[in-house]
Order: sequence, then structure tokens, then C-alpha cells
Amino acid sequence: MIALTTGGLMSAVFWSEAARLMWPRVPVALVFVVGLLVTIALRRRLGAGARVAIGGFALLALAGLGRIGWGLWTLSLWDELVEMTSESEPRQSAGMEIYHFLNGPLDLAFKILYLVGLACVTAAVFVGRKPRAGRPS
Amino acid sequence: MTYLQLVPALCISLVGLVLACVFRHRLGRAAWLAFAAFGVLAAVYGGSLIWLHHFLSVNLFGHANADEEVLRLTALSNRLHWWFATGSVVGFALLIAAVLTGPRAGTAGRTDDPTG
Repeated sequence: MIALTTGGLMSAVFWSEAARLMWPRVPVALVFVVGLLVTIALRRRLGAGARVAIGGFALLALAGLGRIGWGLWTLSLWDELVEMTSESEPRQSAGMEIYHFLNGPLDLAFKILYLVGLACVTAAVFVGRKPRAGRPS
Repeated sequence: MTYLQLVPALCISLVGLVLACVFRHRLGRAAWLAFAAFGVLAAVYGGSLIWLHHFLSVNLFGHANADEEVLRLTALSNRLHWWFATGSVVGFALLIAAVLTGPRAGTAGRTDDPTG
């Protein structure tokens, strides 16, 4: 996040690329957050399905927001790299090393989080709920 | 690498669709929401998969207007990504509604009432 606050954030290229690549991911990530908040708020009504639904939406929100955050950080690095190559002496920054080291595992982690979250939310639709008090079942 | 997410996600939404079909009586009002949610999500994942497969298999080697073709494919890709993003939003919104509506109380296979 350091690169975001220093160089990358100010550049027009960063914002145009961020809008093109990351903006389509934002609405669905917000839906996951809304899902998480609504299921937490209505957890009593959901009964037995609440824990599965909250867990599922939490994983989906984590995957969605995490991927947007990682994407923005990667874009800020790219911006930095473009600036570097225009100078006479290109050098490998610490950010690029972190990127090469973490990009594969993080990508896989976000995919797994997304799939487990989707499976949990799917299961939550079918999990029974607590019969309401005062109502014969 | 992207197939790794799309193929299992498509499978999960198809399983959800089949389960919604099997348990439609148990789900009651939520059945239609579940049908719509899993249908939209399956369409989004399936559509993304078909587009990705098409995009990756395009061979522009020796193409007369390769530059124009790349621009056309990129524009189409951006437009399709927006459609898939909209589909995901609609699908997950319906899924939230289906989770909140839930199966009918009392007919669920799993109940918190120990006396049954």
C-alpha cells in the first residue's frame, strides 16, 4: 500500500487503467459486502442457516475486496515500472519482488476463497431454519 | 488459471440449480428466487467460459487486419465483461434474497427443535 500513497496514485495512467480493469469488479464486491451485512443483521431470523450464510458471504467479500486491493497495488507497481524504464538505469524494486513472489499464490487463494464462499452460500439456501416461536410446525 | 475458477463455479451453480429443482416443494417461495439466482450465475459462468475459450483460441498469425481485429476483440471483451459483471450482481442479489427467504419453517430436513 506504500506505493499507492507515493507515486502511482497521482498518475493519470494509473486511474484510467484502474477504472478499466478494476471498476467492473467493484459492484459485485459491494453486493458481497451487502450480503454479509444483511445476513449478520438478520442472523436470528435465518436460524440454522445463518452461520453458513455469514461465512459464505464473508469469504466472498474477502475474495472480492482482496482481489481489487491486490489489483490496485499491482497497477501502482506497473506505473512505477513504466517510469523506471524511461530512465537510463532500470532496476528491480522491492515491490516487484513481492509481486513476483506473491502473485501466483494470492491469485490461487482468492479463487479458492471465492469458490468456498459460493459453495457455502449455495448450501445456505437449502439449510433449514429455526421454526418460529409460537407457531406450530 | 482462470478456468480454475470458472469451471468449479459453473459446477456449483449447476448443482444449486438441480438442488433447487429437487427441493422446490421444501423451498416454497424461495424456490423461484433460487432458480433465478442459480440460472443467472450459471449463465454468467458459462458465458465467461465460452468467451474465454474463444478469446484464447483466436489465432491472428497471418491475419490481414490483425491490428483492427485486436482492437475489435478488446472492445468486445470490455463490453462482455460489463455484461458478466452486471449478471453477477443480479445473480448474487437474487441469491441473497433466496438465502433470506429460505426453506419453509417446519419442513426443513434439519431443525433446531430437539423435540422434533
